Amino acid sequence: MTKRELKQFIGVNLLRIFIAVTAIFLIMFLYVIFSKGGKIVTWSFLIESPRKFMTEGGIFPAIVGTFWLTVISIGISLPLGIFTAIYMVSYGKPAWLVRSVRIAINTLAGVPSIIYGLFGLTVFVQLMKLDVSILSGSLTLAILALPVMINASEEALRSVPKDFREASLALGATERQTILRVLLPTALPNILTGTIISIGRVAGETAPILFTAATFYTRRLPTSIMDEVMVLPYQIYALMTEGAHAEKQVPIAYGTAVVLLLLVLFVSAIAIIIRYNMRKKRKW
Amino acid sequence: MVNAIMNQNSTLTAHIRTENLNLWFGDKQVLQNVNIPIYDKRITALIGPSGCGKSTLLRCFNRMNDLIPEAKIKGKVLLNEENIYKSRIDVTKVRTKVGMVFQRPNPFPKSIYNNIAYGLKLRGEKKSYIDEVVETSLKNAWLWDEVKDRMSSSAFSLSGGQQQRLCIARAMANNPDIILLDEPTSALDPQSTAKIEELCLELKDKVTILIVTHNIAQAGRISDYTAFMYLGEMVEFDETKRMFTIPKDKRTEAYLSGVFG
Repeated sequence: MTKRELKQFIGVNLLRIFIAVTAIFLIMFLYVIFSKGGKIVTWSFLIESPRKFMTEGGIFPAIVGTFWLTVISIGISLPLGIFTAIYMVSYGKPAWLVRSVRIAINTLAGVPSIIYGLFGLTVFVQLMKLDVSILSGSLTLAILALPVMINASEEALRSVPKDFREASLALGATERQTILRVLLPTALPNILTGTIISIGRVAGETAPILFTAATFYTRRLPTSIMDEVMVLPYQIYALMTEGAHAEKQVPIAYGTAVVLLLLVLFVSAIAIIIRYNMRKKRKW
Repeated sequence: MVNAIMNQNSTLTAHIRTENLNLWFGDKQVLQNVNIPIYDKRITALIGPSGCGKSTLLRCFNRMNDLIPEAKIKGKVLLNEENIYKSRIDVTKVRTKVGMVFQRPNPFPKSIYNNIAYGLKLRGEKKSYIDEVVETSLKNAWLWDEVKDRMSSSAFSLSGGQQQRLCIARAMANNPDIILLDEPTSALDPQSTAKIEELCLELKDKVTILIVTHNIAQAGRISDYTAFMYLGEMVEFDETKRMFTIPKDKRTEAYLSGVFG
């Protein structure tokens, strides 16, 4: 074996080891969660309400809670993110405004999530008197998701070839028509990627909803966005730290983790399928 | 000199012309006192070495230079004797009357039909009218027979030459007075190039054509008038035949004989 071949051999195998380590962590992760919680997850676990302070019964209210918090927060942050990104990409004036917005976004992206929780508590729950509710929690989560949304949308809009914009304007389109008819449809698949990432993040966050939306135990389902709700990630936290029946609570916590994991995967899968179909139609 | 030519062709009307047009990108002057008439239903070619300002001049005619923030313009561009740079003019209307085809084919990531219908849909035309115009535009661009059975497939499924003819059809669908072609064949193979050239000759009965080209032979083959530009100046404007046989300016002669390019 020559020196060059040896270097090649070592290099490739080093990469293989790194890949294996990454894969092992992922497999271990899934194994731990599913082996401890997999058995708990039965049909009745999914569709029943909890009994006896979470030591028996199912987690249906928490699934509903997480679902609504995710949907509403994405519903708020997606349009906000897209519109902000459109402004920054298409108009981008004055330069100082765009620069300040970008600094603000990057700062927001780095803020620990518990601080979002405190912010939500102060502004939405207390100041705006929305109480501990789905609405307060969704608004808090929306702000948390906003930086990712804006960055993904901006990236997606910037990656649309300049040719399309020129072609559209040269045909007598206004800037607005160009954005609506060419820029946005072309960028949409990539914007969806940002949305998928946000969904995972939002559905799994505990800290921002701790003071704004979550309740530990309720047997009834939310009837409006002003109700407080049970939420999957917070429920895991609560089951592991509160209550007096650890032997009954811990398995339920792992079962909840399995459900949360599957729920996020399910939502992501839907978005991926939508994106796949969009991309299949549009090629350039 | 240009005036002399204009008098000589007094039977022809200039569809669009410039009057002492100057253009700067930042501090750099790219066009200097350009005066050029573009005659009705004729093909005019803009030739000159790279960086002489011919594409920039072309983009003055449909105000595409507006997209470049540091561009500054002085002088007039008169479309049917109306200055398109006067204040309070509707730029979208100008661009509807003055169509453009770019160097690289740039169809939208939409179906063949929706590419052609784009300009019409912008103005909210009726479906039946759009269908009709899409068909005639594609026929005019000699594309109809090739695409009539797959109007809903992506424009990207077409070959490069077909895409460029699609772009011509898309521009023609707006029923423009003039179309601007910015080196439309430089990204195409010789066969597709020949087809586009023939198409230009066919289209000049319907529309005034201004074409920027790097290819001197191409200008000779298809244009009625040629303008030679050098360093932002309009050096010579004449009937193509005359310019190619007896150029008046030494620089034109040098360029045409391939001394520089």
